[in-house]
Amino acid sequence: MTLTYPDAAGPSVLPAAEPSEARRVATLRAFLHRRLATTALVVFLLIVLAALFAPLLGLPAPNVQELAARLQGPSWKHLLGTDELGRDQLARILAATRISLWAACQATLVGVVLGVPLGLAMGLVGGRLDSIISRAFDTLQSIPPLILAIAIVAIVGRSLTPAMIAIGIVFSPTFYRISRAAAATVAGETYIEASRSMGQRTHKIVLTHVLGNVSSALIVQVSITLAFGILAEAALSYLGLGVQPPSASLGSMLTSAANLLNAAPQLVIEPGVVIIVLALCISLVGDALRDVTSGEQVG
Amino acid sequence: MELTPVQVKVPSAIVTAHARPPALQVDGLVIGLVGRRAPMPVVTGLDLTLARQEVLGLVGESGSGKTLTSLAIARLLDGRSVQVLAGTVTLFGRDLLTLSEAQMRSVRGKEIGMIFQDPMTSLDPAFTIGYQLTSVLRRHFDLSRQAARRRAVELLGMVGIGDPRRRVDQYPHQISGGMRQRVMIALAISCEPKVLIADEPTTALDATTQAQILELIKDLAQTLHMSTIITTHDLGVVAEVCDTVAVMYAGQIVEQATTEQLFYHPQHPYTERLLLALPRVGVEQEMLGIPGAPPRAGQFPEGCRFAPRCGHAVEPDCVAHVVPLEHLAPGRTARCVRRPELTLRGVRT
Repeated sequence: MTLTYPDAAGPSVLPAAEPSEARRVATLRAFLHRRLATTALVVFLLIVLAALFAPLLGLPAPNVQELAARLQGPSWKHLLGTDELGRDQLARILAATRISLWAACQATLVGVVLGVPLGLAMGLVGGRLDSIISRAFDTLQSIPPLILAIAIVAIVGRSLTPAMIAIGIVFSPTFYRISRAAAATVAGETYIEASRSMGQRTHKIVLTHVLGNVSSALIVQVSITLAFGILAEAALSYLGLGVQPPSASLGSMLTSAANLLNAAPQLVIEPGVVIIVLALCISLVGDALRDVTSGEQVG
Repeated sequence: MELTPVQVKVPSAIVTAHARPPALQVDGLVIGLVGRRAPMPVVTGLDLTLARQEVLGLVGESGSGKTLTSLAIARLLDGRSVQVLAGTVTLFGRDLLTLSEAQMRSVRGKEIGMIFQDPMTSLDPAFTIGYQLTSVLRRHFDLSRQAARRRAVELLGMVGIGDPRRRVDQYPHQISGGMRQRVMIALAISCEPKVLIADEPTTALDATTQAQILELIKDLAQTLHMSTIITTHDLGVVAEVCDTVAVMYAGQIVEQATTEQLFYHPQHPYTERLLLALPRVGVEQEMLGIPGAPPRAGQFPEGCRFAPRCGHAVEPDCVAHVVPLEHLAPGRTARCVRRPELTLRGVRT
């Protein structure tokens, strides 16, 4: 646009696009320019939608056994075949995906809720309290997530949610560190001092400036954690520590199918492929988001 | 080291001469570095008066305490390492140092506006110019989004940014350094403060932009009836925009005068040396630097702090006792024991 408006005080004739909205649109556009990331996002969304709306797809119920039709290969009636109890494999995979995704979300949510607010606060406060809490999180990070999850399961019994919460707790130090480092960096910036000099409230400064500057790093970490959460759930359920029969998760489907590897290899391959595709898609989307959002801040 | 070097108070005659309190009055301000050891004063007993609608230049070398002083006035010192240890800061008769943090927040921006040295870092790279302006406006005024945005565009126009309707949606990295400083100024004046503190506003800019920014600050101060403090190490800046000047050396004011008085009739050897160090066009004269380096905080000399570098210093007068700030006339002070016997060279026309 080359027109200039000398009468700056006059009424605005241009539609006042909300700046944050304009920014979101720009980010989205940059993201959609990456073909691989866009494909990954579409595939991921398709899987999520299919998992969420599985009951509406007209498939057989995932737990209905049809013992006459056991271990069948793919057919029109059962698109992905049937398992050792004659249950529809596609329906079970979709139900399992839903459980796996939900488990990954639980772990990520716990990590974010524990790590981010404390991290932001400690990054701003600093001092001795910061040292103590930071060391506590360091200690937490030294615990292997799966071992802690197994220990939790040993205490509270075989159940997926406590195990995923345990995994989320072990993930929280990463979120804590990212937010703390970003808050500490941003707190020393002149523009924080500048906005204090204009009478802005501290919590408002933290929420806008700090969170605004740290959000891209957090989004990437959320995607990495989601991907790891899916793998962790699969590992736990594969060991039989996660979701209990007859419910299925992607991991537990692998376990039961592993015994039938020679008879029906597709039963192992199908959930395995879903796990790989989910984790891969989430990682690709996260990578692209990082590139897009960090590129826009480089001055 | 004792903390009470300044015993001389403003004569009451001067206070009553002004029917209304001055815009800003700083009395006996002591700023110290605090930590595990005993507090180490960096600014010691600073007195400063900013008359209404006056532009005051606060001049000093790096490390003389001018930035700390301007931050202390707005109570923006990071309380963990630097604190105000004593003194009062009075804004239109109201003591700022006794206000609560919440009260202080509504003073900042609304009554005191600040401009910082480096425009490259004083705007948040993650938000548009418009967002940063409107959030300040809506913090202090009850404005709708649209109204705040209109005001933001208007402010950008006021500080001389062309095509403000387009600029308002841009990010700081999309505009030049000079323009960023203009945006900073727009932010500082957005809530129509009565006092504007500009901390080295032109140091990070190139020479042509410097002149424009100074002109802008001067004009805005006049049209918006602001009283202004400009800290700088550049006497050229002072000559261009300031009505009065306070010269700082090693955490003290050594001389305060009107700009004309200071340039033509300096009353402190340090001011004299600063003037001699100024480059001048058309004069065949070597620029004279000041030998030595300013003392570091905590190692201030017992007597006159400038004595070790001063050509006029004599023993024992200059080194034995703390030198008080002498009030020569309203708004005219100097801190030199040998002042009556010295004839100091000012700028010759």
